[in-house]
Parts: sequence; C-alpha cells; structure tokens
Amino acid sequence: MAIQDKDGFWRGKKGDSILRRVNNQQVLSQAPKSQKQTGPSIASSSEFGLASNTARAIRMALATYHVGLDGSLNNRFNGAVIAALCQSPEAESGRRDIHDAEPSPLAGLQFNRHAPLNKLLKVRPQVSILDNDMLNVTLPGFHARKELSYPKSGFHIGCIVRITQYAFDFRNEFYIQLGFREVEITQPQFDGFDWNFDERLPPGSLAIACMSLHYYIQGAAGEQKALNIREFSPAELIAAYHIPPDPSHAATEYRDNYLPLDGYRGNEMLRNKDPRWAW
Amino acid sequence: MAILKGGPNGPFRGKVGSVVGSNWRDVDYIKGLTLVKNRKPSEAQIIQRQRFPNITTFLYQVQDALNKGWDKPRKTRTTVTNDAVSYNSRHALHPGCGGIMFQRIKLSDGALPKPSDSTVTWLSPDTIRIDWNPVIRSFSTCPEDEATIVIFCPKSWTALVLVGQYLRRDGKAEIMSSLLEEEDICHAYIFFTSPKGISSPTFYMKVCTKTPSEKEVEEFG
Repeated sequence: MAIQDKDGFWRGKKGDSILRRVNNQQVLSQAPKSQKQTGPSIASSSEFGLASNTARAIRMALATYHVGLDGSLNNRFNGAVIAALCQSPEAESGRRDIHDAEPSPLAGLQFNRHAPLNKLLKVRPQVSILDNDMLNVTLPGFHARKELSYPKSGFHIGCIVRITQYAFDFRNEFYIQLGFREVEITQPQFDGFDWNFDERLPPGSLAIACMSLHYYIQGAAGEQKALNIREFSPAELIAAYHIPPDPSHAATEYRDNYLPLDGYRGNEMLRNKDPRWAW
Repeated sequence: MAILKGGPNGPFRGKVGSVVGSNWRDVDYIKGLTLVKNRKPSEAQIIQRQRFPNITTFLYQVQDALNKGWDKPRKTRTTVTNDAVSYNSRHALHPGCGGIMFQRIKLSDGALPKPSDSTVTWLSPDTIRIDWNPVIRSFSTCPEDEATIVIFCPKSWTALVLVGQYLRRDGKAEIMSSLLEEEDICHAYIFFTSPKGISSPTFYMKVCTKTPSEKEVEEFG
C-alpha cells in the first residue's frame, strides 16, 4: 500500500513497483526480486559493498564538511572510491582495498554540489607531494572581490580559507586528524600562500587533504557569526596520496592520536571471502 | 518406546524402529538412527570431525561475553551461541587443519567503533594489564560504556571472562589469575557495550610472556 505524505509525494509499494522520494523528486522503481548471480556479478557486487563501506568511513570522518548540505554526496563518494579501486595497479578484484587503489579519482571531489569550490573561488590551489610524504599546497594571490564570490548582503562578510589533513589506515582501522591551517581574507588583494605540511604521517596510510571556505558576518564591535548557508559552504578533497610503508616506524607509534573508523567492515568482508587476506 | 503427543498424527518423542522423534525449541523433529560404521575414518574426515568440538569447547567457555555482545536473533529460533558457533566455524577455523585462528574470532558485533587502540602487557607472571583510551572520540561512545574482556589461555584451554567490571572511563584493567602463570601466550579480546545495549566489534590482542628480544637471546645466545 502506498500513501501520500504531507508534501504530496507517494511513498510505499504498489504492485511490483516502489514509490519513494529521492532528492525532492518522485521516484518509481521496480521491486527487487531474488536472482541467481553469476560468479563475476557476485565479485562485482561485493567490491561495491567494500567501496561503499570505505566511502562511509571516510564520510563519517569528514562529517564537518558536508552534513546537512548535500544528500547526493554518498553516491558521488561511492563512485570515486569504485573508480579508485578499479584503477588498482596490481591487486586483483576481491583481494584489494583502498590501500591498493590508485587515489587520483578521489582528488577533486566536491563535497557540496550546491557550492563547488571551483565556482566560488576562481583560483585553483596547486598541490604537490614532496619526498613521497610531504604535502605542499600553493594558492596564488588573487583579487578578493573579483575572483571570490560572496553572498549578497548589506553586512561585512569575511572569508576563511582552511586546509585540513587526514591520514587513514583502514587495515589497522584508525584515522588521524592532523590539525589544520587557515588564513583569513581581510584585504581586497590576497597575497596567496605556500604551505608545507611536514607532519609525520603513519607509514602505509592514505593521506587526504581538504580545502574549504568558511564565510562569516562581522559586527561593528568585531564579533563574528559563521554564515551557514548551503550555497556558500564549499569544500573539496584536493589531494589523496599513499604514504609508503616503512618497516622502521610501526603504525602503533601513533596510537595516542587514534580516532576510530566508525562502521568500517572492509577487513572482515575481505577476510570472510578469502581467508588468505592478511589483515 | 516413544510417546505420542497431540493425537494419532501428532509429534512423538522417543525411538520407534529406525527413527527417533524429538523436539527442539517448539520444533518437532524426526531423525533416522545413526549408521554404525566400522571402517577407519580418513584423515580429512578426522579433521572435519574435529572442527566442531574445536570451536564449541572454545565458545561455550565465553558464553557470558557472547550474551553481552552478540545481537539476539529475533526471527529465528537459534540462540546467541548457535549463531556464534555458526559464524566462527565458517570464518575462524583454518581451512586446512581445522584449528582455531584466534585473531579471527568474533564475540560481538554492533555499531560502536572498534577499540583498536587497546594494548595488552604482561606485568608479572600472574598479572595482565589491558589499556584503552578513556577519551571520548566518537559521537556514539560515552564514558559509561561497559568493557567486556576475554583472556584465553591455550595451554590449559580455559578462558577468563570479565563482563561489566570495567567502564570505558577507567582506561585500564589489571587482571590477576593463577591460570596465567603457566602460559607463554595468551589471546585477549575486548569490546564495549553502551548503556543502550549497542556493542562494538571485537578487537583481538595477542600477548607473550617474553619480548621478541628476550626470545632472540634465548635462541641464539
């Protein structure tokens, strides 16, 4: 039985079709049936399960950038992780996780499709990895009123550029948040920056850097209030790269800063499928 | 002799001819008598027959932990231990020799984050210390989460199960037992359960009496 909710959308099952609401749109889909799957389709579906679980763990860690802004990020993130896994250079399907994958499809992922960073800020950051583990981010100087979009308002609105770095170790099931650096754009002519993130990262981990803009209203007495508008809360994953494994430094040295990966089941999934999986 | 219940077509309990009637959790069963075979089992058969007692003798000792950490099945008639035996015999037994792979044992499951920052150290011959981070670092955790600790001694094949004696805010547990004195290696498991009854997956830790360097000195002089 399908019912009509207060906004006029139909929800529920009617015959062999399901009515639901996705992204403020009415969707009519076929009810699933049990099907016999072939070997390759089982392999492909279990890899999708792994990618979706991995993407969820990363999304939970980066929750401050996207919660309540964009519901379709889940699908885009899943797609990026699937693409990364498929471009894995060596490991075969069913025996690989994100640490075997090629991380380049993750870079450039927009967290908020209502406010892509490349549309609000016309200048692009240049990212490079030095000595395999040091991140360098350079943002060239720009004219704030020409190259950066501001919300229309009669008040004084300021903007902060922030870059945050994370390291994920899915095999040992933890992640580390390595502080952030930010700069306030106060003058009409912004000079840009050249930052080196030289913190030591756990060997064998996947490092991720996010760039975000944070707008705020400034009062006459200098007080500030964050401007939490969907159209002006951009964030982008600007870099994703692997830290090479180093036998002389164990991942347990970073144990004091461990943060738990909420809901990650990838190791269990891979191990249950193939007992040779080592982690 | 079997006893008939519920009329001429009803279930029965007991042995009639070559069949046995029985009842398990309101389900009536009828089974054939076992066939007595005199020939010697093959090696593969011996391994296969050893798999079930291997896992059950281990899991029956840690039933308190299973009852705390494993979600109770709602739709089926199976118990928590049935489910745990089923899962662990599929995934935690060595495919070749049928021995237990202790690092793959699962005693609990749930949405709380896995306590992967826990460590275990051997303080004295009869004391083991387990540390974990008492700081709250996730939305779903709280200081009142109960820790369940299982220490398994493979030499004596016995388990120490501590349910609800320590909370997350304690940050450590010192466990003293005479059982530990004879052991070289112990397998320790830890998981947390929130006041609402939601558990975390099990985290496995292995502890040896001797550090790797001591072992090397002993072996190579």
